[in-house]
Amino acid sequence: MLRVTAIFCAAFFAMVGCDDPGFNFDDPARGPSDLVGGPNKVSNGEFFGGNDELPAARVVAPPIDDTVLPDCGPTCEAYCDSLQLTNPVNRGVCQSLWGVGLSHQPIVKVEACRRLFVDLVGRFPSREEVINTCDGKTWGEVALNLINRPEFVKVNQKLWSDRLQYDTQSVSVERIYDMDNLVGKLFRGEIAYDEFAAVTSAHPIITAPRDA
Amino acid sequence: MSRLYGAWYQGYYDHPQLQMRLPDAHIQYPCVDDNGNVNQDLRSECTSTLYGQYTELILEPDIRARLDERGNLTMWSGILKASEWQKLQAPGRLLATQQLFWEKAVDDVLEQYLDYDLGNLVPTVRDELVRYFLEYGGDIRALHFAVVTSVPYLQSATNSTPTAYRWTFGPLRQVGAEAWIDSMKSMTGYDIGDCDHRLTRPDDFLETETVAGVALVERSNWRFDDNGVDYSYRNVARGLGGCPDNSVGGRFKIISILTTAQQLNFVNRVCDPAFEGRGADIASLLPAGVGPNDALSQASAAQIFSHQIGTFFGRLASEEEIAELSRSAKSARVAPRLNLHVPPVSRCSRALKCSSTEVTMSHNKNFGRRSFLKGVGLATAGVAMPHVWVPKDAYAQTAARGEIKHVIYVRLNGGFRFTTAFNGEVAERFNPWGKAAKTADGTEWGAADLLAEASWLTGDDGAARAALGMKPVTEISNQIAVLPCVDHEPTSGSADGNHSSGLQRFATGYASNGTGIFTMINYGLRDRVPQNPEEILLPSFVLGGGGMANGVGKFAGYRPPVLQEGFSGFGFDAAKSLPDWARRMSDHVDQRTLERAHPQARPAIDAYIQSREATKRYSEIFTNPALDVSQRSDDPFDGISNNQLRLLLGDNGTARNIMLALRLFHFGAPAVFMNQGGYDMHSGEEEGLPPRMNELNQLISGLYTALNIMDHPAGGKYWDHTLVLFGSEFGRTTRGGKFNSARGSDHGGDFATRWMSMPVMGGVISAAGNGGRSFGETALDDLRPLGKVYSYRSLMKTVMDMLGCDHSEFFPADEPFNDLVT
Repeated sequence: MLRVTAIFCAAFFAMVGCDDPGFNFDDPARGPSDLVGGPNKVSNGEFFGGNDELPAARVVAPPIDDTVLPDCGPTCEAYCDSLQLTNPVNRGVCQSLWGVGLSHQPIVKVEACRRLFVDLVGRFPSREEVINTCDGKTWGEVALNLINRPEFVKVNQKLWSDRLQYDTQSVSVERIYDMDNLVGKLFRGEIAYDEFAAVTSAHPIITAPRDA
Repeated sequence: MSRLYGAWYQGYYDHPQLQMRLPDAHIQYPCVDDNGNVNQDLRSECTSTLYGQYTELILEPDIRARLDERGNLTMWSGILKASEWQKLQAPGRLLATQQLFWEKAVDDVLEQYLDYDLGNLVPTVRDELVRYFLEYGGDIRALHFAVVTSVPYLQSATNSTPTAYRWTFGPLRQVGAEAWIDSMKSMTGYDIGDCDHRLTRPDDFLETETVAGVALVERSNWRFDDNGVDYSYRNVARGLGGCPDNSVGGRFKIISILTTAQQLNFVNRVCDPAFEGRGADIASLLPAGVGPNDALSQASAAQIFSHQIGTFFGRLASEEEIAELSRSAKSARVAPRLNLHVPPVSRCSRALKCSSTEVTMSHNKNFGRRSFLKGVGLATAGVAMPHVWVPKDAYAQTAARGEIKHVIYVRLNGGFRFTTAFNGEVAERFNPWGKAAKTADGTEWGAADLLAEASWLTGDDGAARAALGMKPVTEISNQIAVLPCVDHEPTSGSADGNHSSGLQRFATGYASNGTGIFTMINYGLRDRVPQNPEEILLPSFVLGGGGMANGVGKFAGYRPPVLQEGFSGFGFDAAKSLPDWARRMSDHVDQRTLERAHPQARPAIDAYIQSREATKRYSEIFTNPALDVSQRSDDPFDGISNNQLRLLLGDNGTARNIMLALRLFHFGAPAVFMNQGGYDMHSGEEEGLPPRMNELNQLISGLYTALNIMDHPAGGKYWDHTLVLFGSEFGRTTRGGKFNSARGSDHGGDFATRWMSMPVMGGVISAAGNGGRSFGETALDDLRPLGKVYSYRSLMKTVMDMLGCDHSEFFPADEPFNDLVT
């Protein structure tokens, strides 16, 4: 019975075209990304941990065998705790770096500024940009400035397009635009990563090519 | 988890505005009965208990569901309700409850910025980052912020360290192609457009000739020129591994002679040393107040130098550099006019040539011919002429091992309906155009009527072609052998009709293999040595998409060069354009940079330097007029001129690629791969396929004719030494009619999709008396196999064997076969 109904309905839909809400060339996205994200950001975007004062290595003989992870031990742990580092990576690496007598490599401003630019914005900066963006600023301020630029979103949209293998021959172009919008929302802080994963897990960009 | 994906089905959506048949996700109803109610017996098949959580995902059909071409109820996912989407997202929600999920996110971001796996090397970093990430509610920006402000990232990549711990010095990694090009654009103002990662094949949409299709491309990041979409940016980027179409190939990063040469070529275009007026505005390379026609003084030279250091390196010139400039100025005989000698371009090119995050330098290594060849993939050994290969008894071999010197492999792009061409003696629903009325004597295989299309034999040009020996394909069908049933996976229950995995199988042999067939060929020829040590030999090439050129691990060094637009402009040798003093300065800059780099970062930099040095040797080949197939020359080369080749093959992209392939063969290239046409005709095939076949027919006939005219350097004709084959990722189906509802064809899991009926031709086939033979057979009414079915991997291994490759490490379960050559 249901099959008969379906045939009638198919004819009806075909006549009135009511299953197709239209096509917008400016935003051809069609898919579930519209249903997530709103005006409220996931966080306030004021991230801590960008301004750690980098410590000196604890005065101790550095590890001899560098093929295994250094053994930190209680004194080393205590040293790292005393540093009151706020950056989570710095906190995590301390017991394998400063705490065991190893030093980091100091960096000059231009090297750091160029690296941040090319990785976060997708191109190297000019001398003027180095001065205007990086001079007199903490690295936390610089990173935040760059992360809040549209280019940061674009860099990561490209990266995800590689991961998800966008290909208009395999998947509807409307779905690709929709997925791209979803990635944009993620990197503008409009949706959380777990929500992004949930939507992606059932996005036609994933589900369309899987059954062939 | 797979039970939660049972509701999805791959189908098509006929887009009313684009007038295209788009592949898209549909919903099916695996756990309901004929009345649309949940079937209690099947319920468990739509239920996951992964991670100890009971998760059921069953959708019930309503009036939106339709019967599809298989007679099953399905619904296009474009009309799913929000609540249904929510339900379908169960897999992601389930995953996000797991610690591993967050750890993977952290590891990915660490890898993105550091280029090594710090989360695994120092697990406490991963733990801290997961905690931090969750504190910000899963805001991905927080994660990126924490990594780029951390000490493993913000420390120098220079100097040496007392231990090899990777986190004790900063990252130094090769930047992506787009970042390098975008930097050039930004620094010099040289605008070559863009590519758009969302619209990987813009021409497909323009070809619809619909308002929606054209508007879609116009509003994308692609730019138009007089010929349609402007691919300038894409062509440069693809040569360097960027702007992937993810169809034939994905993104890659490699340091090789060819990628370096392509960088130099682009720098040459931007800096325009010959002042041809096509490069960047010279004003952007000069400091304020200095004009291109100003007289050059030591002071203004210093100004220019400082300006360009600032532009390209973002810093001030060092005292050491200033002192060197001063020394150089004294030794240089500088002309009074800036544009005559000094070269903004010299500094420009030196600075721009680097693909890694900092400048690299050159060692004046003495490259012999042999070492030059090794640079092909940097880690590669030489690739030499096939005829010096000594067969190894350990290999499973064909009777024709090492009998050919060259292969041309053409992919019929997008999935080709083989039954309309090379297996045409079948029911109308498989070949609406029918069998050819007449074929050459001795033709066993089912040549289809579309192969008789030969409008290129009409008119004056047609007469000239005929005079050179061209005939309709149906008249040379006895020179072609066909394998009607070539299959990706002969033991599989159904065909792989998916573009992505079908193409991966086509390019690499498996759905998840990282090494392309052409990389295998280069690897397989690694032990050969040229008879003449002074001989320069080229490796295999991929013209167009790069999937065939994939390569990971130990095979990465054998990846073939991927060219998008031939060798035009590749003759640029940066060193030759510089006066001695400038060359010395450049070398010193490079030397200082190398010495500053952390020892662990030096091999990659050194590889880049070697590749740049080696491009000087390549330029000897690149500047050979024979490789410039765009030249309209009547001068014969190997017995045929460019104009004759153009007459035979046509003047389209594939024709030029075949011309280039034939010229590359002269320089020892063993194999060339290219794409042809666009056969993914979900709609409009009835009208669109015949003219496309006309083009393909000209290529087949033209190539046959050219190979028989051309004299091979080793003696005989190229035909005697060359194997030509055509393939595609799969065949095509209509699931019953002559065409689908949009007058096109699709791809699914049936025999019509499954069989790649591949034509093969060349002297080795003819000499064995196999021209015109059919190796296999299908039933007329349903295409079930009545003869031999060949695995695609076996065929590829057979081709490798004929070339004399060491294929012992590839496709162990598939053996090369003798049928084509005995």
